[in-house]
Amino acid sequence: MSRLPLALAALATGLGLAALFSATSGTGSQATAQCVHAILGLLAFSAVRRIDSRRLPDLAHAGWLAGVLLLVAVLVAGKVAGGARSWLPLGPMALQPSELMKVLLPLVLAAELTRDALRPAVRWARVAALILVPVALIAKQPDMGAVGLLLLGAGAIVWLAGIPRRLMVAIAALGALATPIGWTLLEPYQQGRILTFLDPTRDPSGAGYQTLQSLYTTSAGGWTGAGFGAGVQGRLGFLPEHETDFILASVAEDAGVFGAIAVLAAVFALIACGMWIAERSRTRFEAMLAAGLSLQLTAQVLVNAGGVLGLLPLTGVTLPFVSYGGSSLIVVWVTAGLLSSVAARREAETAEMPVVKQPWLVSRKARTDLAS
Amino acid sequence: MSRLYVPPVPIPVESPELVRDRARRRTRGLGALFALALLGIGARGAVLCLQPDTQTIRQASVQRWGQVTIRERRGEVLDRTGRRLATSLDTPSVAVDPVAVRAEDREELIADLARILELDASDVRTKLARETRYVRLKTKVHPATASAIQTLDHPAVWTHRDARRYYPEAGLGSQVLGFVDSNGAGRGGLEKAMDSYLDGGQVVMQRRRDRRGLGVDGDQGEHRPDAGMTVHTTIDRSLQRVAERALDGVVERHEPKAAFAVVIDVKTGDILALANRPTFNPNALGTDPAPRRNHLVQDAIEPGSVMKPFTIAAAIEEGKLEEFTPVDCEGGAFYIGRTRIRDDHPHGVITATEVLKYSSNIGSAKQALNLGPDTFIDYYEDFGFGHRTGIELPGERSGRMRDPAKIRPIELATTSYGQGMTVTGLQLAMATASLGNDGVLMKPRIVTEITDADGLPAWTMKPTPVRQVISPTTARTVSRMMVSVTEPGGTATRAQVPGYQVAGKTGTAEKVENGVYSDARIGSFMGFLPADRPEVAIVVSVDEPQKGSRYGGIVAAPAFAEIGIESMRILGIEPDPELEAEVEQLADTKDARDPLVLARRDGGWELPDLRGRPLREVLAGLQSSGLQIAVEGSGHAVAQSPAPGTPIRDGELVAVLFN
Repeated sequence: MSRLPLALAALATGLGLAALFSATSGTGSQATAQCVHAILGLLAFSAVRRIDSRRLPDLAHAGWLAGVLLLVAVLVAGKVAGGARSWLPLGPMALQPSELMKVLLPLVLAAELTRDALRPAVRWARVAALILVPVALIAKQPDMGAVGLLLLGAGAIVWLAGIPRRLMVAIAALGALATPIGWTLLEPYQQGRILTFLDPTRDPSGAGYQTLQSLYTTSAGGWTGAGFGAGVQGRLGFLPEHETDFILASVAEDAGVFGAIAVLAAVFALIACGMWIAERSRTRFEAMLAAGLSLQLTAQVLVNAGGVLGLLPLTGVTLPFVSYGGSSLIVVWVTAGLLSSVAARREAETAEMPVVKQPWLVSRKARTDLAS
Repeated sequence: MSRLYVPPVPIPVESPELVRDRARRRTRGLGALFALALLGIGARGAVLCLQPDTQTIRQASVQRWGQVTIRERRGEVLDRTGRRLATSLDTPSVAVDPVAVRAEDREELIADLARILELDASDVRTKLARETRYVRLKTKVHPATASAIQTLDHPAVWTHRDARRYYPEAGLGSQVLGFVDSNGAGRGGLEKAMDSYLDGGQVVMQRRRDRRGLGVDGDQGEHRPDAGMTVHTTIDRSLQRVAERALDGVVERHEPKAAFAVVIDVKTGDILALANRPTFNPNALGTDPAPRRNHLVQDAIEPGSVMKPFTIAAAIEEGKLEEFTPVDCEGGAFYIGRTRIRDDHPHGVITATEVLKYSSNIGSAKQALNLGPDTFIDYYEDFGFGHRTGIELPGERSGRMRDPAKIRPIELATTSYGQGMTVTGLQLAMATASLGNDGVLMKPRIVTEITDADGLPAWTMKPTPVRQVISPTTARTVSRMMVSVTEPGGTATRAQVPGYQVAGKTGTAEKVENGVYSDARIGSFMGFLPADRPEVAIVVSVDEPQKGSRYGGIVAAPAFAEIGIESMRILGIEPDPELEAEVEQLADTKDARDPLVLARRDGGWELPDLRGRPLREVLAGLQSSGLQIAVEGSGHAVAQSPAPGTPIRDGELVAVLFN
C-alpha cells in the first residue's frame, strides 16, 4: 500500500512529461528541464518517505517556521516574474516558497488540530495565526492563486477537524463582508482578471486574451486531439504560458478529451489513494495529514482546470505533475512522499499489532480513554 | 458526557464517536462538493472539446489565418524591337526580430549581419536594440546576399521577397516610361497612362500566421504571377540612347534650364525617341519633381520662327505664294499700324525660299496678313496646333492659339512667326513630320500594342492619319525650301547631316515671363531627313541656354545633326548617291576591315580581336552566338576580356570596353 503513491505519482509525472514534450515540441527545452525536476522530485520523495510519521507532528511547526522565513526572504531578495515577487534564486534554479507552503501548511494544521489540552478559543486563534501569517506574506508577493489555494485547502482541513459550524459560518460571513474592502486592495490587473472571468469577451486582446485563447485551444481538440506536437496555439504564440498554467488546454489540443482525461485521472488516482490512506490511518494526525494533503491537491486541480476552462478567474496556479515548474513538481512529489510515509507507518503497525478495527479520526487522548 | 466526569481537565474533549461521525459526515460533504465541482469542470471541458461553439472556432481560425494581399507582377514595357525598358523583379529584403536575439550570440550576429549586408555594425546594433519584433535591416538586397543570410540559419533573421520595378536601361527615356510609387501604382509617363494594363491586380491569399502576424508557412491560394500585360512601345532603344547622348552634349555645352529632343517616324507618326533634360534614374528616385517633367508634352511654349514653314505652307497651298515668289522684306523694319516688326538681318526683296533661309519675320508676317486671320489660323489648327494630339502620355497640354475673330493685325503678324501663341514640342514634331509625309498629319503613336500573358493583343493602335493638311505638292515644295536653311548661308548650317539632305527650320523664341518678353530664350531646331524621301522628323529644343549662344541654329542644330546621323545609320537608310562621297570621307576606316566572324572551336567559340571595332559591329557579330556580352562606354572597342584567341563557351561572359 505504501508503494501506491510512488506508482501513481510516477504515472502522473510520466503522463505530464509526455504532455509537456508534446506542448513544447520544437519550441523549447522546458520538457528536458522538467525531467531533471522529476528526478529531484523522486529524490525528495524517497527522503520524505523515510521519515517516521510519528515524528512528523514534532517537525511540523519547525517546517512551518522555515516556510514562513523563506516567504519573508522572498519578499526581501526574491526575483520578480509575471508581476509577482515569488522566486528565490537558488543557483541555476529558483525556489518558489509559496509552493512549499502547499505541503507545510496542511502538515502544521494536521499537527495543531490534533493537539490536545487546548481551549477552543486558543486553539482556533493559533490555527488562524498559522494560516494567516503565510497567506498574508504570499498575498504581499502578490500571488493570489496560491492565497486562494491555501485558504481552500486550510478551510477544508479545519472543516474536517471539526470546527464548529457557527464559527465557520461566521468566518464565511466575515469574508463576504470583507469582499468590497478586498476589492479595493487588489491591483488593477487582478480586478481586470476577475471582471474578465465574468465576461471574457470584455477585452479580447487585453485581460480577456488569455482566457479566450485557452478556450480556443481547448476547443481545437475533439476526442483525440491534433496529435503529438501538432497543436498550434501554443507554438504560434497565441496561448501564453501554454507549458505551465495552460498545460491542460495544450493537452486537450494535442491529445483531445482522451488525453486530458488520462492526465487528470492519474492525478485523481493519487488523490483517491491519499483519501484511502487517510481512512485507514492509525492516528488522528495521520488521517488529518493524508486527508489535508489530498484536499490541497484536489483544490489545486480544481482552481487550475477551472481557470483554463473559464469557470474561475485566472490565478496562475499550476496543474500538479503536469505543468512545467521545478518547485511545483518537487512539492507534489513531497506530498506523495508524506502519503507514502503515513501508509508505511500503518503497514508497520499492522504487522506488529493484532488487527483491530480502528476508530477513524479519533484523538490520542480519546483513544486511550476508549482503551481503558 | 465525559466533560462532567473530568472536572480537573478544563479542556473539553469530544467523544470519539462524535468526532468520528462528524469527520465522516464532513468528509462526505466536502467530497461531494469537490466531486460536484470536478463534474462541472469535466462537463465544461468535454463540451468545449467536443461541441465547441462555432463562434469560438471561427475566432480562433481568424486569428491564425491572415489574409495577405499580393500585388501581381507588373507587366513589362518593351521597345519596338522587344528589348525591355521596364520590368519587375523580385528582390529580397532582410528582416530581424530583435526580441528573438539572445544576449549570448548578439554580438556574433551583429558582426555577421554587418559583414554580409555591408552595413555599419553600430547601425545593426541600434536596430537590434529596438523594442519591436520586426525590423527591416536592408531592402533590395542581391539574391546572393539573401542566400548568405539564409545560410546563417538564425531563428531571429529571415528574408522575404518584394516585387520591385526595375528599368534595365536606367535613365533611358525616363519621362516617357515614368516610374512606380511605393504602393505599386504607376506615376508619370507610360507607367501612369498604361497603369490599368500594366498593373497585374491584387490577389488575396490565405496565410497561416503566428501571434506576431508573421507567416508560418507558404501562402495558400491561386495567383497569376504574369497577370500584368506587356506594353510594346515605338521607342527604339538605340535611337533613344542617341537622343539622350545628344542632349547630354547640349547640356554640357550650353547649361540650359531644360532641353528635349524627339524623333518621329514621319510615315507612321511613331515616336522613336523622346528625351528630356533634366532627367532622373527611375531605379533610384529622388524627391525633386522637376526632372520627371516631360517637357515635350507637358510644356506649352512659344515656338518662335520654327512656325514660319507652316505659314509659308499655308500661303503656297492657298496659291498666294510660290517657291521663288519675290517677297519685299522692307529692309528690316515694317509697320503694322503703329507697331514696328523687324528682322535681325535686314533684307530687301528676297525669294519665298530665302524668307525661310534667312528667317525673315517681315516676309512671314506678310503671308499671314495676305491670307487673313480665318484662313491662316485654320491652317495652324489643321497642323494640329491648339489641340491635344491624344498621345498616351499623361499631362498633355493643348497650347494656345489666338481666336481668328478677335485677332488684331499685329497679333496675326507675330503669330506667323510663332509669337503670341504656344505649342507643345510634340505638336511641333507632328506638324514637322506632316511636311515630310506629303502633307498628311499623323496621330503620334507611342504604344503599338498591349499583349496579355498569352501574347494575345488586348489593345492595338495602328498608325492613324489625322488629316491631309496640305497637298503633297505643297509639302514637297516646302521641303525643298526648308533644305535651304541648312545650306551655306542659311541659319542652320550646323544641322547638316553628311550624306543626306536636311529640311529644317531654326527658332529662337523670346520667353514670356510675368506677361512681358524677357531676356530668356528657347532655341530650337526642327526638321526632317532625307529631305527628298523623308523618314524621320526631329525636334530639338533648348530652354534658356546659359552658356555659349542662345540661337536655335547654334544650340539645337548640332544635336539635331547628331541624332540625324545616328538615326539614318540605325534605321539603315541609304545616303543620297550624289552625297555618297561625304559619307565615305566621314566613315571610320576601321569599319572597312574584315567582317567580324566568330570561329567555332572545341564546341565553343574562339574569341576574335574586337579592339578597334565599333560598338554596333561587336554587338551584331556576337549576337548570333550564345555569349553574354557586357559593354561599357560606346564608340570603338579599346579593351576586351577574355583576350583575343581565347576559347569561350556559350553562356560565358565577354566584357568589352569602348571609348
